[in-house]
Amino acid sequence: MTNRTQTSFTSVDQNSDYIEAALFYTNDLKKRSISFQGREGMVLYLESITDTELIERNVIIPFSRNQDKDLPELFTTLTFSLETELNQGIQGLLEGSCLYFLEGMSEFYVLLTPAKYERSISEPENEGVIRGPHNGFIEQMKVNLYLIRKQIASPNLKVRYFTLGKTVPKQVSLVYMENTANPELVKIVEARIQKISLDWILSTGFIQELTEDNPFSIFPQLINTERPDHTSTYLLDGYVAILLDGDPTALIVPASFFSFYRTPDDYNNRWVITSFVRFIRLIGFVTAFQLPALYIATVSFHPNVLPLQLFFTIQGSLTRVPFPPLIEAMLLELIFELLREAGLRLPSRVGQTIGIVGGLVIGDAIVLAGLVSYTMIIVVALTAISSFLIPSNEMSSAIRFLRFPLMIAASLFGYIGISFGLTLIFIHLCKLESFGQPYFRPLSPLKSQGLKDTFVRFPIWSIRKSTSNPKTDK
Amino acid sequence: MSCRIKLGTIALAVLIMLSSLSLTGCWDREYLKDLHLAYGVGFDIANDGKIQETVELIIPPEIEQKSTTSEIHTSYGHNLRSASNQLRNRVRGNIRFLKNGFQLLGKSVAEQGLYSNLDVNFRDPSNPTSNVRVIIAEGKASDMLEQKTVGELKVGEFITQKIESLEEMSVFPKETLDTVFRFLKDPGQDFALPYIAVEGDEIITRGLALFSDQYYSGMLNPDQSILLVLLMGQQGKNARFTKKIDLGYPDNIQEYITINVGLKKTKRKFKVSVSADGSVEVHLNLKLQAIVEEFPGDRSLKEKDLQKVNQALSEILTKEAESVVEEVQKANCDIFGVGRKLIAYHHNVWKDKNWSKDYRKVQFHPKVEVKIIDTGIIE
Amino acid sequence: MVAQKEKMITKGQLFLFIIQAQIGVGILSLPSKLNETAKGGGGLSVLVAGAITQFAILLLWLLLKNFPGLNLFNICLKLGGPIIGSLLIIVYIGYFILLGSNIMLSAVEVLRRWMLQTTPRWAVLGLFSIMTLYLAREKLTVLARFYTLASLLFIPLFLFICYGLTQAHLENMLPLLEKGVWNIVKGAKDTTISMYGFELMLIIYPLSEGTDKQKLLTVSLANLFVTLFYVFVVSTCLMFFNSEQMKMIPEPVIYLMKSLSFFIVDRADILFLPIWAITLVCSIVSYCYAASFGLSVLFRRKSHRNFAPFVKITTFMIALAPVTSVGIHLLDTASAYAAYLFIGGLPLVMLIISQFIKRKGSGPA
Repeated sequence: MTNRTQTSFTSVDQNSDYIEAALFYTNDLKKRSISFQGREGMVLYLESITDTELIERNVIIPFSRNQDKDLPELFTTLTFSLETELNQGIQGLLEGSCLYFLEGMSEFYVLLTPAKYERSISEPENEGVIRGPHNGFIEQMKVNLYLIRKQIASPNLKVRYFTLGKTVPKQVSLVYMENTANPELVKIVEARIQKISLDWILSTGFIQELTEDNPFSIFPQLINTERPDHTSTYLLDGYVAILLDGDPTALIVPASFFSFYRTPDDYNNRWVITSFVRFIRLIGFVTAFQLPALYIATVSFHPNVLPLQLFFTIQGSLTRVPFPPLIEAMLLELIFELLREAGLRLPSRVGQTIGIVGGLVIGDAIVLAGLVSYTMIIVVALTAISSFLIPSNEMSSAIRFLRFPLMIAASLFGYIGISFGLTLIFIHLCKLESFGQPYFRPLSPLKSQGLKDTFVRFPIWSIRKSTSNPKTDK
Repeated sequence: MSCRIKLGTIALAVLIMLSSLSLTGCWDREYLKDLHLAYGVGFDIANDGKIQETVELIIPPEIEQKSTTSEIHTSYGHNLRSASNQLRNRVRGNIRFLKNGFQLLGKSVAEQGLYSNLDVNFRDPSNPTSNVRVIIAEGKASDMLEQKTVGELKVGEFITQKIESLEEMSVFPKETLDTVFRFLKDPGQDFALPYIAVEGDEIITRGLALFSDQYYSGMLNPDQSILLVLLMGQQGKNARFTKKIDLGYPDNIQEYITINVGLKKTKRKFKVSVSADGSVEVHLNLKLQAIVEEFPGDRSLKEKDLQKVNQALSEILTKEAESVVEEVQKANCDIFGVGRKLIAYHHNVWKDKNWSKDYRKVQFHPKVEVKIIDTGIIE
Repeated sequence: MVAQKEKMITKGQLFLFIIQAQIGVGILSLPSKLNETAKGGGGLSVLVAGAITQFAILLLWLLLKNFPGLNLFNICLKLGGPIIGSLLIIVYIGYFILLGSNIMLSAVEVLRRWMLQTTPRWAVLGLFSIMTLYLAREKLTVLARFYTLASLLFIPLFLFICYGLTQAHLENMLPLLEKGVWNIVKGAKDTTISMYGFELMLIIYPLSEGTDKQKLLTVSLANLFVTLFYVFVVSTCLMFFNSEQMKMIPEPVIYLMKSLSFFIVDRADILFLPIWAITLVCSIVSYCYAASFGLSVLFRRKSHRNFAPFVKITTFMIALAPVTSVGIHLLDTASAYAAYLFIGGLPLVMLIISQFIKRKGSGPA
């Protein structure tokens, strides 16, 4: 698209020619000549993204009835603006406006007549809650902002718009609480968003990857959610949310490792129960990436830690397996990942078949065929289940991926290898920062107040107005 | 610039990954399925002075959910390791002692000294010490292991279960390779080990084998063992005595009474004092609380009878304690750690003593008091 | 991503940093060494060593207090001028590298003795090098964060050793003064090598928050903690083993673990060592950080990041060099004596010179 400016011509034909040329004679551009008070005029719109009925009712009919009135009075029912820049008009066209040119006039009208095909506000499927609000963001940013404002009716809630994308501009908004958000943080976020220079942006995934502190890390560094209530809680805690038009996901920064282990449900349950559930999640976190490694290290390096009976049981199940434990584990983990990926892409009705084939047929046959042992199946199945315990899908994938290097380390050096791998992972976690904030807070750097809502959840009166308030940490 | 460094890191990571994958023929790895576990090990000294090692190997089942089987093998060598290597030459090879359950020492070994035969266990980090029982066999250890099964059980399983249950009955003190190692090196304390024997098809308990330094020096029968274990301040879940007592009734009937002092609180006082002339006196008081488990007399036990029973039992047990102590002293076995006390609290006295001789001169004053606190659900 | 800006570390982080740097591989063999010299009085020897360390800390503190905002290397440059100062920096870098490789070597030897008997030394050394390099390149705050995390591991280690108390007998340790007071003081000499690590305050002191007094208090508290922890470990071992037995066991702490069996785990030492390895990483990283930081001062670079690999490679080479146990022992002795010079001697000289300059400087002005 041309970037040079072009003020509108006084001749209608010249204008329409220019616009047609600019849009490369697309077929859905409609022109309609409507004269006004004897002067020649023309309405232009893209029929694919405008509400044609609206144009008919509010633009064309008024012309035929009120030839005697002033031009602006005709459009009282519509939002409109007067423009002189033709390129502005073209942008308007692309966003669903219709243009009206009048012979001899140096300005033209941009009338807002977009088509509205909106999805209804429904609960996001991957973030369902048992208790709590059942609404979710949709693809319309305005609606999403509406949902947030509905939650936080405060003058402190501040929204800032940015436009990203050179060829296909898209609106991005930055939402935060003026009084609680750390101004330094807001500045960093703003700067990073403005630094994005892409021709086009499709989804929040782009923003995510372009604003991260460490793009090479496998850990997600921005929280994403489709829940307005979740977003609002974070906003009130002083976090900053990024919304993109056309994407129902809100990105929340700065993320901490533990924020991926939280769910909105945590605050709707009794705090003792939540603490217990969090504890289970912690176990899930540990088993999800360590269990196969521990098993491999134990059976190939340190069988002497096993109690006697278990020793014989495992030894018995291993006697017929021809592979070393690492290969055995890799084989099964691969099969599991295959099944998972296959199940993900299939419609839910066929998905069940995968479950049966994978779980029952392969699971049983592979042991009977002597390829893997029952104990390994138990280990891998437990690992798989544990990895699904993590509320965030991204974190879950990251943790699942970590298993493989750990398994290799375990098969090379046994427990020492595992502790080596874990050290590297934890050093990495300590090193990571999300928008200038330590990723592993509040555990390291230690913040006792933040710990109240990390591994356990203290009663709300004890953690209110504290949690992981992203003030400058070290 | 920063990106280049990052790429460098990634390249390094990939390099590590690749090299580690190629290194998979690795050093310390030892697959569980290839191991052959020696559960029970027995040592004897053969006639030519060589060490005879007998091993009970546990063979994992070929089909899952079947029970394990066992093999018994025996070999000779100049020391333990060479015997083990001999064994490896003969049988499946990869014999490991990772989960060793007990070490059965023939009496010949016990008489020639334990340490040289146990040294390898303390030295090799892969050999366990914490839960390994040390047992003395009357006759040859190999004879006992070569029975292979006792009833339905494998001989190794049988022996461990037997020792464990007898430890619960307070017949044996709980000694493992670890504690034995400690006492072997301790100048001020000796130890006693379970003493078992083969009789026909059965393996029976002989009592306790007493040790002086590292040499076998005497034994106690099972009854005395219980008292010794109690005097040592250990206590299993049960500790039963059956004694004949005279309640002093006019008709002079004597009755057998069985009491159990396990699980109840026991008070033990162990005091080592040195008199001015350097002689050592030991006061060993034991207050036991007992439950009457069997008393098939005509009369029920009333409160004033209990007094008499207490007194009678106390007298009997004190006498027995004296004889136990006498036996122990005769065996020159400082099982109570009198020497340790001397080292710790009377160091100058200890320095002047030649403990292997002077221990026999120690004057013991054992005293046992029994108090019946419960008579079961009948009086 | 942005140019490295060294943020300050908090007092708590300073505390944990010193602890992590101090507690290292020495403690594993300390009870056995003390048993040789001081027998039952080993615990007392540690206390004496703690007191001596406290004096050294005070000395270093006085030096650092005289030059607010400067670390050891800056002080060297300031006192010695560009040539002598650079020379001083180089020898200090050498010292840090030497100590780093000594710790790494001892750690690797322990692991190889107990767990990885047939794994070649270079492999285990390489493992440690990668781990430590990854951390040592980072800025101090990241180090501090990781040390905080690693400090959590003291809890299981402490519990493991506590479990040993269930089988301990006080009599094994008595009489305390069996070897006499002189031997107990001599035992303190064996302890000092396990106490090293506090000298890293020379580097991180200007980078930590708080007033001079607060910092001194923090470092002293860390030293107190380490001393008490050592007393606890040494006494537990002395009570668990009798002294005859201890003479045969070079690493009593691990042997103690081996003697314990928990419910599901039959061999505690196999769990203990991997956990211990992580706290060892902290010690090694501290020295590597100090050495590469020195290099960055020497070459006037802003970040020590790119120097860390060189330091690590040198450390790796030095640790690979000794083949026999004699060589290992030589390295051990060398680092012990180097430490006397670099922690005690040189700082004292620098302190005296600085006082002299101050007096001279304040005279005419």
